Amino acid sequence: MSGMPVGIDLGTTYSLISVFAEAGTSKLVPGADGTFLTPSAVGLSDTGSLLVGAAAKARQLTNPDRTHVLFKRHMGTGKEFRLGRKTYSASDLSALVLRKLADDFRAAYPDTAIESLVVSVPAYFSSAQREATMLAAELAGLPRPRLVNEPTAAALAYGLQDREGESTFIVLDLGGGTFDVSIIEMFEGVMEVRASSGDVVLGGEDFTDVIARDISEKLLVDLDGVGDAKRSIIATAAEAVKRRLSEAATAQVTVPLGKGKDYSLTREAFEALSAKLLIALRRPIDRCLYDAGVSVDRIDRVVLVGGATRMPMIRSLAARALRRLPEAGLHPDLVVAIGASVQAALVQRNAALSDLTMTDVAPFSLGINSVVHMPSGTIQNGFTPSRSQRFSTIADQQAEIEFGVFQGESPMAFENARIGEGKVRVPRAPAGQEGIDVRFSYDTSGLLHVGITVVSTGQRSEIVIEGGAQSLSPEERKRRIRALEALMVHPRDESVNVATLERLKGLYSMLLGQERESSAELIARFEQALASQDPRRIAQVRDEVELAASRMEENYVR
Amino acid sequence: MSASPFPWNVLGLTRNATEKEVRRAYATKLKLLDTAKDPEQFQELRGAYELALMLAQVAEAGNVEGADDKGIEQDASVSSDDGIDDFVEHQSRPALAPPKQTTVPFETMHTLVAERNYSVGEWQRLLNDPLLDDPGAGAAFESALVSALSENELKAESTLSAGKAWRDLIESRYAWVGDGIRYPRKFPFPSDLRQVLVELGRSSRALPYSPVRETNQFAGLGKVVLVLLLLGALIQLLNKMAT
Repeated sequence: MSGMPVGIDLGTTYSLISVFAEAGTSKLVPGADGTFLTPSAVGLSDTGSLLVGAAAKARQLTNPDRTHVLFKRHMGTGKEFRLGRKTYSASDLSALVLRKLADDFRAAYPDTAIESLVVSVPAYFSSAQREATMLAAELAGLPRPRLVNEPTAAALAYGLQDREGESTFIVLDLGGGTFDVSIIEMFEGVMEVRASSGDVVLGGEDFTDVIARDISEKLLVDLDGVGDAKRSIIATAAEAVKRRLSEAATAQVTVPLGKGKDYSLTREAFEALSAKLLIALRRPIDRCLYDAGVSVDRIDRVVLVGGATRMPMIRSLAARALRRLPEAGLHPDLVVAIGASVQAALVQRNAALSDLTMTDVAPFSLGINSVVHMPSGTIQNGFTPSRSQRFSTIADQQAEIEFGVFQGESPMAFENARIGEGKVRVPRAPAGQEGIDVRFSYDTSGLLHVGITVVSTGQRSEIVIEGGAQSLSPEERKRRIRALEALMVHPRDESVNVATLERLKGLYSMLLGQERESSAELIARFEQALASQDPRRIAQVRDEVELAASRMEENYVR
Repeated sequence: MSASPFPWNVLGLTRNATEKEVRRAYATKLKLLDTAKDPEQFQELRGAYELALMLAQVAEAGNVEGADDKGIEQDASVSSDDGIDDFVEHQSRPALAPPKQTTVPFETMHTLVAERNYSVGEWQRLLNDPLLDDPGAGAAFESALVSALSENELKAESTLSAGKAWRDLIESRYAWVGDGIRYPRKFPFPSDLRQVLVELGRSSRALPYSPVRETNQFAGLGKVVLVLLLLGALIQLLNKMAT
């Protein structure tokens, strides 16, 4: 069995898997339904089995209480998601999505193992969030992955196209739930991330939310008071309006509340509603330029990544802030996954990429304080992956030095988040004569290692700063992997049919009058085909009703 | 070659290497190195590269008055002796082209501050003014805003007559409170502004500009601390057993 480098973009709204093929290029792997984008959604079917991907996403509209989406926003937290009688962590749900992607890989490349696995994460993900992502891969039965920052992955995909080139480019990655900005310099086959910044709670979904709030205000619905079902109808309408406004100046929908209520929005009004979000978007851009220490005139290319960058207001903001028209040579939804498998090939030291190297930055500023909680200098973020600082004893005959590790942007250590601590023994001596060197380094996945060397004896020790996820014992971990394996997940091929049926049911709930009747007819037709149990007939009817459904969806927003 | 001093010796270059030569030498050496396995060697190479690159850039800027880079124009005229420090300063704080005809938002801002008008709606409109999206104008505006708030408002009273919503809006744009490293570097003159903003946020027990990120970061912290404490105890125990 041969092995392949595999990259996964585990996104807030969609996830993708790609392989680095022997020809030296990245290839996306399609799911059973032939599409590359797997919705990051997990739900419970009527029969009690789990649905992952399109089938779950389609049921969000009709069964919001039995569907979970956007769980990436809760990675590394203790939040629990209930499905039926069981509860799941964000890592568990992500593991189910990863397992679905791995199944797609096995279907496309039977008898091929995953040799090196890279999963992408937002550049601004904390150690806890990174650990939770790695745990998700392990729970899915995949090899322990390396992580790559999403904008870096995007840059790799672009860099691969133009390896000899010399350029400085900025990547703006506005995904479903996160915003990342990175400045990357490329020369002589070296790609260096000069600076990274971002906001882990700002994404395309927030723009959808702005429209949903406006719909409920205009149509006099209390968004927090209505039930899940109505809320997801409004959210679906908002999403449709948002998409439409990326192509047209106005959008109109009939929201199926009561006898149907009309709602319309113009591009300008949408921009005004999004004022707060647009203001927050500018901060990471400013900061990234500042940290990279490059003048905006030295930036040659502006690359937009993530589905939400399709919004015209984002494109024009980028153009004004960077004095350059953004390019979109590669598909903004696919580019991170492509880059992730390039990174997987780099990790494997693939021969096709021997002329390319990549170095990345430390995303956070780090600092430590010593035993008396004296604020010590912080270590700034910058692009050397490893820096060291010396601390001396402050009392005669002091036998130990105790310290805390802080992460954050305040010059006073105690104002930052305390992420770890340690204690080292030092030989007894007069104050100031003994000391320790503390070295911070990020490993290739962005996890923080703290190395301590006692100056006089040269004795070394190391701590890895980990998120809560890591504190699982090996037994607990094994138990969770087994528990997840034992879950009944809907069969891969049948999931395609469930997704189609649920999509039609969703349409039925969004449409009114004549159109609602048409959607009911489609449901009846497809159910009839399903009842025949003839795979060829099912496939044929499925294609037909999907086409009809697409047309009806397009007509939904005017 | 071994005769040349640091940083050029690490890169195998001579003292007068050009920017292009420095980059090429760095690229060649970097590709021979496994950075994950040998972080110390990488750090040495990286340090040498950064310094050599900077020296080459300073030398080139000195040779050609106002060379192709507008960002470092001012440095070209600085005599080479004290030029390096200045250059480093500008590296971390890019000088941008002067603002174009963008006086309108500046005037609006001064009026609002003078009138003590901290209406969130008006400030939202102001901060979203496309004229301020140009990096040069944006940076100038940020400085002007800091000065206006510090001088006009804070001199009269020791607090701002603004509400928490206004403070959160400003914070979401500039992170003056949340980012304690860049703020003092950008605005080194003493001012109570940051402290006042901290208190404005605290008054209603508000979290800084991105509450969810905060929860994410702190989540599981208790567990981490506990594990680390246990780890510390274990290390101590092992140490005792060893001695």
